[in-house]
This record gives sequence, structure tokens and C-alpha cells, in this order.
Amino acid sequence: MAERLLMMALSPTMSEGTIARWRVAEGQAFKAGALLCEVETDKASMDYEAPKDAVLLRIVLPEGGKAAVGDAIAIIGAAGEDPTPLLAPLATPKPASVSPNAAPAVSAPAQAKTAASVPPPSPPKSALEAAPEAALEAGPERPSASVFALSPGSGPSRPASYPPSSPLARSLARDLGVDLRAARGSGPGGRVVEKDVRALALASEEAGSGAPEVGKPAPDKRIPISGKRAVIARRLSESFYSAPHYYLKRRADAAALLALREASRSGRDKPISLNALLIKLSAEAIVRHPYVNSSWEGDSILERGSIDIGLAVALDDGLVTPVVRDCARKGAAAIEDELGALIAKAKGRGLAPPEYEGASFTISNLGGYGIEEFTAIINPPGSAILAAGAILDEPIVARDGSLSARKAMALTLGCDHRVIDGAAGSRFLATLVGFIEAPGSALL
Amino acid sequence: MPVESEYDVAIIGAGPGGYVCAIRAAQLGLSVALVERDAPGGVCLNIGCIPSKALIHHASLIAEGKRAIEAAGGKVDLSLFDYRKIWEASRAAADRLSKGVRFLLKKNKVAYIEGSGRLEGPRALHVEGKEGSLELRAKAIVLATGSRPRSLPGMAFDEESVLSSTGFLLSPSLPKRLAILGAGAIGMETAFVMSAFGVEVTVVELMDRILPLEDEESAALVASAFQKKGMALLTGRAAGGVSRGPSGLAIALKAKDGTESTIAADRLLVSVGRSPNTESLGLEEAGVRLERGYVIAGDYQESSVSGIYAIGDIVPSPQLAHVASKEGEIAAERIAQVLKGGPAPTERRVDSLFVPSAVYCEPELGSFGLSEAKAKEQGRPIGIARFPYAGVGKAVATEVPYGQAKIVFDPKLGNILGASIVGAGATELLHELLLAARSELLLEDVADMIHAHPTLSELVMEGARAGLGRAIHI
Repeated sequence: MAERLLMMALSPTMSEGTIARWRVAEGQAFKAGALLCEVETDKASMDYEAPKDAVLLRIVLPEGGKAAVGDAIAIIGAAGEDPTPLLAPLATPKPASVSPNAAPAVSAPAQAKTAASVPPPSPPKSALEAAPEAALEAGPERPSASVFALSPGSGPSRPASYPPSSPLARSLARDLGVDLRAARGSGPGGRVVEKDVRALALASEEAGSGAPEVGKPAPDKRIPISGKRAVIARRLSESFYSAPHYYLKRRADAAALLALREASRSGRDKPISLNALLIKLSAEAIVRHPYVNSSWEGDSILERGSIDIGLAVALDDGLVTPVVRDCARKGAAAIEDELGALIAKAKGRGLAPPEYEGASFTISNLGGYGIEEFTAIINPPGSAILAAGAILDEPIVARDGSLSARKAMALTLGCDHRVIDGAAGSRFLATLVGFIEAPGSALL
Repeated sequence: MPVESEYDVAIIGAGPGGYVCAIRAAQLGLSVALVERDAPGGVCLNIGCIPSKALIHHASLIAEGKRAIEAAGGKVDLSLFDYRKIWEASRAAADRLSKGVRFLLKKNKVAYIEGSGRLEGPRALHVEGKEGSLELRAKAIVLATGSRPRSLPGMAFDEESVLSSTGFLLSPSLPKRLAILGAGAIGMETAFVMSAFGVEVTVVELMDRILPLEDEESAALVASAFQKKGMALLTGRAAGGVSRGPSGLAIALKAKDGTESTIAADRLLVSVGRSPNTESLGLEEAGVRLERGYVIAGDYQESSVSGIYAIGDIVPSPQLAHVASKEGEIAAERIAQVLKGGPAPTERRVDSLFVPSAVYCEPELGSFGLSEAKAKEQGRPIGIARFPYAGVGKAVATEVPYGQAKIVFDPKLGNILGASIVGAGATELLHELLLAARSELLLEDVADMIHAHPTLSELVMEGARAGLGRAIHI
């Protein structure tokens, strides 16, 4: 029987979510636990896993669409089923008009929505409020307890970061004001039990009472994985373990690049950054070597028409890669302005998926941290990443043996060997080094 | 010429500690030798829990059947009643289970060796059997030699008139008058059985009350039921000595205030505890540390000598079959971990707060955990919930409305700290509360779970509700 798939609370404070991307197409069958879509919340991008085996009959909420917790985002059911009877009541805004013959979950939205939009109580309490449903559920990486269970009173499902816990552990944590998420579960199946909460309370007491006792090391701290950290971990591990990486290194004379930056001051209140210049020059090099702008798709290689370059930006709690689209058609100044806006947004409210996803080439620059040279992990779906080091003076020995100095920048190009062979990568890097050393040649 | 064989584990004693340890070790892929001088199953199975439960069962059936038939206007003729037949049934139950253990050992490929084992250093055993002796070598040794009834000075067991629990269970005849010294579980169970078969029973206890290890209120409920059945319970009295006369035994008693008295009986059961069997095992020579006859065991039941483990009644944990079995499992899992690199046992030692104790008289008494008295002694704030059997439909319908469930809980956190149930099926009902306590559930978890109606289990649910101030049937 067809039923509605509802937006669910993927974190304790989530009241609404935006579909970042559907990972299953209409008409496609999926298994329980499969990734259905990525949901963007106020804080992070979360995976929405299938609650059961079914077919995606109709997407109700398209990518970029926003829905409150408890609202329908899709209709699922058996292959060939007609989703329209379930679509009709959706058009009416009042939940009260929901048709009585709809799936069991249908009565839920209104109540679930109310429950989820209640303002969260004080932090330790909210941690506990969210936990009870969690008690005896499976492992920590399954936030998608059944959406079908979103019935009145059942409250939001357990978010990924809550470990299972015993009722006493929760009662005690509430009493002691301890955040269960930081507890290490030593009970059956990793369940957090009384002694874990007591240990945690003791540890935080000790931590609060100043320096640790002599001869006793500071207690371990368990840091819950944020949604953002989970996404970084998953994507980078996937990339590192599935794409065969190799690295090419060259040093470029950066004098002309620095001069270009200085020259860019005219008519602007500040110069165009080295990063924006590197993006532009990389885009020009990619135009000469379009195979660099490709993705490995298993049975084919997708060479992209638009050169979308991401720049790795460090945040307090992770890493994000804002993407400047179609860099070949934009000037360095436009790229600089766009990049500046994206970085400001990333450090503020956060980026929307279209602003950080789908880079076809990525640049990571740790020069600002004094790193001379380094290697980076490819940011999928791109197939290459440029790691730029600090610009440092280096000695040059002339033919006559005399010494001089030059400004040099170490460039390391990381490539996915499935897409870019060594010689191809080397040609691209040679072109890029040429452009950096003589930016004018990029215009030719 | 002694035969020498090498095993991963050699276990001395095939009681509920030793045989469970052997099977668990075999399950974990270890080669196991199990040495036993008597029958597999130990005291529990052969001269303890099992045959006594058979006797208790018959006593209950007969007493209840007689009462029910007479209540319906019928008449019961017990003139051909023969205790020997009931006793034979108890022996048959013991034999059947002992054979069952033998089968389980065989199925698990445990080498069962009949004889008396003795340590020859930390890695070897000498076994003296009926058909000669042999030497065993083992990478680990588990001592599970159990205990025997403790005797009192001047009251040596002759197993004719002065009996131990062993002598009592092996006797096919009934005395006319039985005196029982010691009102612990064994004393009270024997008192119940004998009284049910028409024996005149007098129980003597040194402490001020019967079942001194149990909750006072619960023990009082048992005492009152026993007194209604016509048994004399003489508490706060020490036994001075026994003299044999033409009309049976005369047992001198002395009350705390110095008053002296004498009771007459045909037989005397002395049930004042059990002594560990730790002699002639070569323990001192092997360097195993003992205290007052008990082996001192640390984590995972390991003794002071690495590789030598001790479980059951020879260590100072509660002398209960189920404790021995659990200790046997812990030791087996630890040995497998050490020898084969398997996972560590889930527990380092038995947590005494979660050990159930059971007295199988009528009414039954089952308990675990923190008692009211102990909590007071510790100055710990507790909540107490009570619910009577009389408020349970099934108990009334089946004519067992006597007794109550008493739950001790944490008033702030709501978790269950202990319980003591007196009444029909108490020893079975207890386990729901024990599971709840050990799993750290709260009163409301038990109170809010639907319990089938009509069942005695509703007592537990209502007890939990009572703790929350919302019992329905009271």
C-alpha cells in the first residue's frame, strides 16, 4: 500500500529541512537503509535513510524545497501503485482534511510538527528529551528510525549522535545535568548505563575543579560527531579509498603572480586574492586540458562543460568547499567577488548545497599556514585537486655560479588515476605553472 | 604407571559450578578434563536443590489436594501413604538430571574423570580414582570442590538421629518428631516438607528471627504462615547439646536471657551453614591463598596463583548454585581469553546486588538486592512499594492470596534497588524485577508494561505502580 514519506527530525533542534539532493529517482526501488535523499538542516547536511523496502512513486518535495518536520516529502509504495490518491489531500493546507483512507502515517503530520517545533529546553534537558525513544534501538549511525512511527506523542526520532542508553542512565543524567551524548556506553550493545553517566559526571567535575591531580592524566573527552564532520569523514574516506590517488609536484616562480596581485589593486579597494588568481589560471589551464575537468562514473567518464572550481575553506568546526561556477567565462575580479561572498556565508549561516557541491576541480591552499608543500585528497566528483604551498624565497644558482633569489610556490596536483593518467596530469600542471609564471600567456 | 595427559583446562568438581564451567570452556574450543569423586551435578543436583524440590513439590500437591478435596466435601484416605515412594521419586529426579549432565558433558566432549583430584603444582593434577591414579597436566586449573554441611561441636552427624541435609535427603523414612537447628533456607524448606507429611516440627534459631538473611517483614510473613501450620519456631535460642535417651533425643536450649529449656525429638537436622571443601587439595603447597578455609579469588575468579581459578562454595561469595554456575562461566571465558585471545568475559565478578535468593517453602520467598534494613544502615534514602497477593485476581481465584511483593527503589531516580516477594510463585516472579533492576529500567517501565490478566505477574506490575502512587487494585 502506498504511503507518505515524511520529513523527520534528524537533529534535536530541527524543525524543518531542505532537500539537498534526491539520491533515488521516481520509479526506482530501494532497500531499507538505502540513502533516499540528503536533507539540509539549520546545521548540517544529513542522510535520510529508507525506513523499509519500497519504490519511490512520486517526489513531493523537489530538490531545494523546504518542508517542516512531519510534512510529506514523497510517496512510496509497491511498483506500479498509483500515488495520486495520496497526493490530493496534500494540496490542502489544513492537516485536518487528510483523507481517512490514507496510510497510517498520515494522521501524524500535524502532531509531529507541533511536537518538533516546541522550543528546545535547556541544553542538558533537551539532550535527554530526545533520547528516550533511542534507548534500545540499533547502532548510532541510524537516525532513520521509522518515519512511520511518527505518531502523536512519539516525538522526534533519535538523532545520530545519541547513543542508546538505559532508562536509569537517562534519569541520572537529567538529575546530574550531564549530556548523554558525551557518555561512552559500556553496557550491552554499547548502551550507556548508570556507571558511564557517573564516570562522565565525575570527569566533568574533575575537569571543572581546575588542574588534574598530580600523576593523573586528564580524562579522555568524547566529542560527538557533528553532521558536518560525518559528511566530511564519509566523503573524504570514500574518495581516498575508491580513487587511486597519485601526486605530481612542481615549483613555480611566483613573482609574476605577486605582481599581478599588486596590479589588481587599481580600481578596487583591495587586491584580488592569490586564490582567486589561482582559480582563474587553473580554469584557463583546464580549458587547454579539458580531461582534467572530469568525473569517474563507473561505466563512463563525464567530462564537464562548466569549469566549477571549489576552494577548501577551514571553518571552526570543519571544512567546506565553496564552488565558483563556470570559471572559464568569468574574470578574476568576478571570481574574487563571488568567492568572498561565499566564504563569508560559509563562516556565517552556512552554505546551501548548490554553493558547495559538485566541484569539478578543487584548490586547497595552506600557504597561509606556512606549509611549504603538501598533498590533498581529491574532492569528489572532481578528479584532481591542486595543493598550493606558501610562497617562499629560494636560491637560484646561475650558470656562472652566482646566487640569486626567487619567489617560489610548491604546487602538488593530486589526480584520480582512473581519469587522468600521469602524462596528462603532467601536461596540465606544466601549463598551469607556465600561466603562473607568465599570467599574460593565459590570454593567448 | 600413571597416565599423563595434557588439557587446556582441568576442573576439580562437577557440581553446578564445575560442570557449567566445563561446558562453557568446551564451547569456547578448549580441551577440558572434569574430575569428580562422586556423581556429576554435585550437591545441588544429587543431595541438595533438586531432590529437595521434588519432596517440596509432593508435599505441596498432597497438602493442597487434601485441602481441595475436603473443601469439596470429599474424604482423603492417607492410610496407605508411604513416604518411601515420594523419597524414591526425589532420587529418580536426581538420577535423571545427573545422567543429563553426564550426557551434556559427553556431547561437549569434556573428558569426565572419576576420582579425587589434587594439585601437583600450578599446572598439574594428581587424580586418585577407583581404578588407579593418573596425572593430568593443564594450562589452567579450576577448583570447584564445593562445600559440605557444617557440623556443630557436640552434634557430630551420625546421619541416623543427628542429620545433615545430606542425611535427611538420603533417608527414606519419616521421623515422628523432627527438631531443626538453623532457620535458614535449608531449615525452613525441610520444616515445610516434614510438616506437610505430618511430622511434628520444631525449628530452633540462634538469631531473633527465622530467615535472618532475608528482609524482616518478608521473614515475618513466612513465620506467621508456618505458625498457622502448627510448627514451633523457637528463635533467639542457642542449642547446648544433644543427649540420647530411650524416648529419643533431648536437645538443651539456652535463651539469650539465660533461660534454659529442653526439647524432645526423634531426629535432629543441623542446618547451620556449609563449610568449603578446601582440604587435601594441595592448595597451600601450590601457594593458593586461603582465608578461614575459603579460597580468596580476585577478578575473573583467579586465585592468588596465576592460572588457578576458584568458583562456587569454596570462595566467599553467596553459596548458591546459580552463583557457582555464573562464576564457572566467567572463569571459562577468562581462560579462553587468556589461552586463545577471545573476548573478555562481560563481567569481572558476580555482582552480589543482582544475585537472586530463593526459599522454596510455602509461602515461597524470593529476593535480591538492597533490603530496607541495609539501606537504613547505609543512611541511603529509599522508597518502598508494597502490593499484596490479595489484590491479584489470579491469586484469589487459585486460593493463594497470602503474601506480598515489596520493592525497594531510588525515590529520586526511580530505579529498582531490590525486592522481596513472599507468596505463591515468588521465586519465579522475582526475575522480572531482577531483569528490570539489572537492565536499569525504572519503576514506570515495569508499571507501564501490559501484564496478562489473570496472572500472578500482575503482582509485580501493581507493585511497581504502587511505587509510583498509582496501584489500581488496592
